[in-house]
Amino acid sequence: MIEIELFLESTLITFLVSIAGCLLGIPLGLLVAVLRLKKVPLVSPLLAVYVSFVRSLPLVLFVMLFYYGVPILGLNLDSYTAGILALALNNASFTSEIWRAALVDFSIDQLEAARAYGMNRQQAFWRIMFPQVWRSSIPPITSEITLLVKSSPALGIIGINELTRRSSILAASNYQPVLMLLIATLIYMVVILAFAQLSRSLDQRLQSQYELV
Amino acid sequence: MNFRFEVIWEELPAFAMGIWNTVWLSGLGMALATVTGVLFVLPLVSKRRSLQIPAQALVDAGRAIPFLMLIYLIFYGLPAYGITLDRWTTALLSLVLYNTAYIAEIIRSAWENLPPGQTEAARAFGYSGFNLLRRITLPQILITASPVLGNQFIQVIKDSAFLAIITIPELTHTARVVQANYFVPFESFIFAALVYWGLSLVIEFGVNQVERVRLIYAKY
Repeated sequence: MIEIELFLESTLITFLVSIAGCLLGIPLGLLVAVLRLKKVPLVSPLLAVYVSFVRSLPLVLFVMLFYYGVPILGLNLDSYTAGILALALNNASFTSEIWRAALVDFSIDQLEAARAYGMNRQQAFWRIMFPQVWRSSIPPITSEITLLVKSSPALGIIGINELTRRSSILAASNYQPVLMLLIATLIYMVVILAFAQLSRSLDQRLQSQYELV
Repeated sequence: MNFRFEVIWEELPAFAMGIWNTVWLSGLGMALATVTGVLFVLPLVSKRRSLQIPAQALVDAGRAIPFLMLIYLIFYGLPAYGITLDRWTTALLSLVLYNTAYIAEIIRSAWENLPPGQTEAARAFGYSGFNLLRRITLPQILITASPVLGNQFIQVIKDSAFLAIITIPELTHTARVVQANYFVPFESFIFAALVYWGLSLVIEFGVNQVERVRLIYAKY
């Protein structure tokens, strides 16, 4: 059946754009959070505006702004680049707030202790602060990833054949609209619920290993 | 690179219509979803397992479906069973169905963290059942949950942009039509983006006000 192949292909597309969005967005969020906390003149306020602005944008609009709007500024983006960039920047604005909360909560004593042991700022950040901040940020970041997967149908509006768009095209073209839509829905549910379960067990394991508070 | 923001100015009536549609659809959707969410939370916090387990399963499943997928299911799926809804009904129904699960979950967590004092006092005064819920429990829950509900409202406004795909003339759709007619992609999308930003700042402001009042009362 040709449909199965098409479904597999579009599931892969949804999967890959989501992964790409996370891989770019999560570290970018950390960078934004660190820069905002460092209070760099001009940069920090601008980033605060960026986070507030992008967090309030519908992803559909953000994707179209990238795909149709940015070329006017002289930068041509193909649909995948535009879509992934929009996903990543959107994700970064949300994860930066998660990172920021975790960084602000971090106890200053440990950093002072690390400095007293002769670590420089970079070493103290990467060896002492980051591993702990990372562990405490895993649960909110995984729930942010599921939100990203759920918002990825927005990429369909610029012609990317991800799962939702593909299922709606198939629903319109053969005589089994309900079946086509239900297959796609089921794929989303399996992926998202499996991911939620994974993050729950990961969280529990980390809690018991490191006795996080 | 020359911008033609005067096109936005000329098309302002169309944008105003789009903003209005976004606002009332999201507002009504949010209000109805709050009602259904509260109704749905009753089985969620129920001690009877036969009610609680299916309700929890429904909420979990509902939160795993992308909003656009739900719109398609209602818009293209239901006609196969002889139920054909026009796009406005589809829009409202999908907003309500989608957010019921989220709001039920929000209310449930507020419910579980509710200090038992007032409820116990009210029971001692003879309140029970619906009156207890309406006069004592629910007001406290809604006020405690108001920041999260405010965030959910912002989320509803953002999600409503997906309705552009079934050609509901809301803000995103208007921006798309204006850009297609005049070829002003940057101007029209950035204008719509600024309006969304404004809307969510207004809601954040409102939530902060509620929070301030709540903190005053929380002292007593």
